[in-house]
Amino acid sequence: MAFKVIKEDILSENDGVASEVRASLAQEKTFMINLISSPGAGKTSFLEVIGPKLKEEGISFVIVTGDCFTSRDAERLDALDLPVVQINTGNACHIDAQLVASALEDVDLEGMDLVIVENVGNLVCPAEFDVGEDVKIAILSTTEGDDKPIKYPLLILESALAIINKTDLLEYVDYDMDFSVENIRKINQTIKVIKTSCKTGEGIDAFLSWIKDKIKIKKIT
Amino acid sequence: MHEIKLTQNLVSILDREVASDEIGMVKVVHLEVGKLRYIVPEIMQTAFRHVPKHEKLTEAKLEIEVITGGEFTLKGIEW
Repeated sequence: MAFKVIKEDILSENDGVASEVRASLAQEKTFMINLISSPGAGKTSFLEVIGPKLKEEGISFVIVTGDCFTSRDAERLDALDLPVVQINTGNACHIDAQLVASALEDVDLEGMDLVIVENVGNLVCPAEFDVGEDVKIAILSTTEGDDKPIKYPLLILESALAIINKTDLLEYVDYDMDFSVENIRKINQTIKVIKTSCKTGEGIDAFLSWIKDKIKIKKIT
Repeated sequence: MHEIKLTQNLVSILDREVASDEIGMVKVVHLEVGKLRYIVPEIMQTAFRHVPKHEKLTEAKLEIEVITGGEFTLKGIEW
């Protein structure tokens, strides 16, 4: 029997396209975030809250939203007159770099401050696929249980920011916030944690201040 | 479900590798998969049987070594 040593990262093809996306964003100094959460954690609701505020601040942005079959998320964002590009992933449970590259072909990135990728609701697969983003953001929520960080450590490890959403429901659910945050920190010592509620507005300003800093840093580097 | 997409990525690398004349019918494909990848080896085997691939790969079996960390590497092929 003959043997050939190969030693190649299986995601190298995806990572190559992600590097091309990253290079074209770097050219325009556009910051890109990749929002990842389980279904129903509040990605679209979060965008419905921060989108108009980003507009008020004069930040130019586009939302690339992924959905398996429907255009419901895109319609919700479009109703608020937010700039949105829809990707239907079909059977795929995540957005990969090629899908983002194709979506961005229709977007004029000149002068664009921010690209927001709203990934397919899933805590496993999207964490694996680099789409050319500057940072991944994990959105967790109080209704889905405080053990999600330890059950899905790759996402926490890969993310620069963890948002714990739906804090307005804390009094109705058995969610141990300290346990959750402690586990997030055990997995990733440098991750920032922001607790938010799209209903009460808690934490939204903290997020806006975080993202504005990131955009500013990208502009000067 | 990500096993299907990951298997397609694997096969696109393998198709390129086996195109060379010196390589015969592949018997074993060696992979190293980190636990953080949440890959179920049995699902990956099934996906590998079904995805379209080079004819030199049709009898190949995946030998998946599960390791710590987040690596996902094609180590080599036997033929």
